[in-house]
Amino acid sequence: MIAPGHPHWWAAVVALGLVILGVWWLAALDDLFAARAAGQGWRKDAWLAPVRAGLRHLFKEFRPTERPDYPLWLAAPVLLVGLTMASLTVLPLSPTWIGADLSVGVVFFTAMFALVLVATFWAGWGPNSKYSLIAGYRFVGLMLAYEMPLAITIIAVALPAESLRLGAIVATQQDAYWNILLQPLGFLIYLLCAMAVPFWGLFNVVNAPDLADGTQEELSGAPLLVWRFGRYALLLTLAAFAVPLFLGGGAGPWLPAPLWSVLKILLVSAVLVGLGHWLPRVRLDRFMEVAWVLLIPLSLVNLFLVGLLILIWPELAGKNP
Amino acid sequence: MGLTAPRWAKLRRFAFARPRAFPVLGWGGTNLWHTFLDTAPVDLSRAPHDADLLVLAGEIPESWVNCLLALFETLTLPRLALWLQPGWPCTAPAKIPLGFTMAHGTLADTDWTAVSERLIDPQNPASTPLLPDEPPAPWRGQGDHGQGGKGMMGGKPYGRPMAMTMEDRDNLALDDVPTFLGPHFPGLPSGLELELRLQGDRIRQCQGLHNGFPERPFEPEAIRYGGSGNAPALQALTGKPVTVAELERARLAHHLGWMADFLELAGLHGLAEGLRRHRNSTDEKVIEDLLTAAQGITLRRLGQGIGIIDRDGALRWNLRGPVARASGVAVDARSEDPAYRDLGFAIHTETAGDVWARFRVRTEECRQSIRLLKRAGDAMTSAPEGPRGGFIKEQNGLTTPTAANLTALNEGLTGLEWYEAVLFIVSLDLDMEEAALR
Repeated sequence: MIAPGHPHWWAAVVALGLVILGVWWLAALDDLFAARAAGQGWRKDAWLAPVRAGLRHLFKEFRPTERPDYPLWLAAPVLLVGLTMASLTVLPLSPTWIGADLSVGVVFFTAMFALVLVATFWAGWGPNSKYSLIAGYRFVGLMLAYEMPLAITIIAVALPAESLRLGAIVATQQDAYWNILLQPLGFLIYLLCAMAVPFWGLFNVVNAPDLADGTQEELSGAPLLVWRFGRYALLLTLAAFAVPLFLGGGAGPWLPAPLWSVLKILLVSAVLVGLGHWLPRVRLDRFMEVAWVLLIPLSLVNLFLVGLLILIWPELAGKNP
Repeated sequence: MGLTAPRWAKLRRFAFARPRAFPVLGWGGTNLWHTFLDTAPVDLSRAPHDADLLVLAGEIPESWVNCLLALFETLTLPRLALWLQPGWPCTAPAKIPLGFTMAHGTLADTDWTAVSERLIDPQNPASTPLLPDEPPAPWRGQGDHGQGGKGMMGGKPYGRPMAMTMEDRDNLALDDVPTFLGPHFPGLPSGLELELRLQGDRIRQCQGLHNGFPERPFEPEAIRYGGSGNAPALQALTGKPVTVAELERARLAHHLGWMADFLELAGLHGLAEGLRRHRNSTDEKVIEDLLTAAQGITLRRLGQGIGIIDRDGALRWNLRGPVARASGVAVDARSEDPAYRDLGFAIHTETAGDVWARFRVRTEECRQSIRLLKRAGDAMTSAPEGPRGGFIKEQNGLTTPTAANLTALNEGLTGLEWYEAVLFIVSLDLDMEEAALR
């Protein structure tokens, strides 16, 4: 309930507005970093580029392929945006600026992220095209790699608060230590997975150049706009959840809590977008190996360490010994 | 298509001020396309569905017409075809309604607002369908979806063979899907057509390899058909000496352009753009910075162990150029040339023979070229060593490095996964124009 007393649709409108602004920010940054990597300095009109790209998609015709699976193909971009918006309902910008502080908030948003698999596979299957199809099942491989480390890391975050409610996780950090200090290893694993979920940068095996843009290959016009918007929004969401999970939510001096949350979200998302331009893409087979041989054990070690620390010094989790 | 009403004109103009271009590279097209990317306010498009401009660069072989018509028809409206004319007289690409023809060397003076005006003009001839909206072949399947009589077998829906089940390397029964790659896949050699059999995204077999460029006899007066970066080496082959500086500048520019294509496929668009933009520069510091960035440690992990050609294979298949040198075969026509010997030229080789080794050989050769350029002065040479390797004139014609290295492609593709295959193909640096020389 964004500020008690307002109707629910108001929360939805505010959330959508914030996401659109966030996506604008990410798309403009994406352009800036690309120019930077090309050694061209900072582009002054970068903030216009996302508007131009969006309008271009709207003016562009949508043309179907031969015998596509229409319902799945066109539902995929909508699902991608939908699951993103749904997961954001449990994101607290402050104790009052939250859609719904579910007692199982953590479970809810991870469940929404699991649906990314459905969206990408539909997008790959739908157009009846080989490159898209390969891209679709590549994501299955990617998810097999990142899902376990991500889930275990998030469990470790819920541990100090002894709650799956995001509000409680933030409150515990504000009473004691931010999770980034308590579990830096977990934070790094989370950041890595935060790029894998929206198949961003080094994990872009789905909309990959070697598959002529993969799931985007046969898309054009408004559906492509929705798909691209959804992907940016998903990246923004992953960056946003790093704030209540690791960065103490809205904690900070002088400014009101929601503003602090937004600032932190913008910063984390900028880091993720920037990394995408400096790291070449991973090999899926290697990343699978790294995830299962290294990341899963590491995230388990992280979970174990956090548990041990809190057992020895309960004050680390804000509890009196 | 909606939204073509005049009241939207201003917004449309804004939206298409930076259109997306899909390239088709004909004879002499590579350089024209790279120059186009440098000068024009466009972005590269890899998927024709979302492209606005079809850029036909260079002299387009007549045999491509039907394929190009189908390709242009894939571009959604608004769309426009441009022709970048090479520096020699030739006929314009047939049947495609050309919006603009840009003569060689006039790109810098082009009025780009006129191009986008033409693009968004609903009256432009490219807005009407070029081909009838009907299947490419008659329906010859059985059942509603061509599923045939039993299981997945039977029928050839719209002329396409159905996937048949085959045992894969893990002894599982997996569909064996006939797939075509090329001839206009952005980033891969233009004109290269591969007939592949895929199981999942693993290549079970490469069944056919065609060159879209028709064969062309080597004419000493017309070295312009020899492929990108080859002109000085081909001139040396005809017996007219060239300066070392010319030969090395061509090599440096070519290698940097190749690296840009490679990095695009590795997802490093910004860095690729930087390399492409500076490919004609000989400023040591600028290039060294770009090379260092490109050689980052993670790129090594991407290319290591993929597409290995061992020394024996390289010798057996008579490979040439950086591909052979990356497998430890020190073959380079420059090493026997007196001018290069005076400059202290030494062949750089690697031993791993994988994609990364070929990348390394080319980066080292870029550095070598810069060093040679600094010392070369006006030294003359007759070493026919192009950026892809040496040309050899034989009694029955010419053998080109690409023609020699194509053997490695045919042998090496089997068993690779899709992304490995694409990196492997790019790492061989094939130029089908060059391979068409006889």
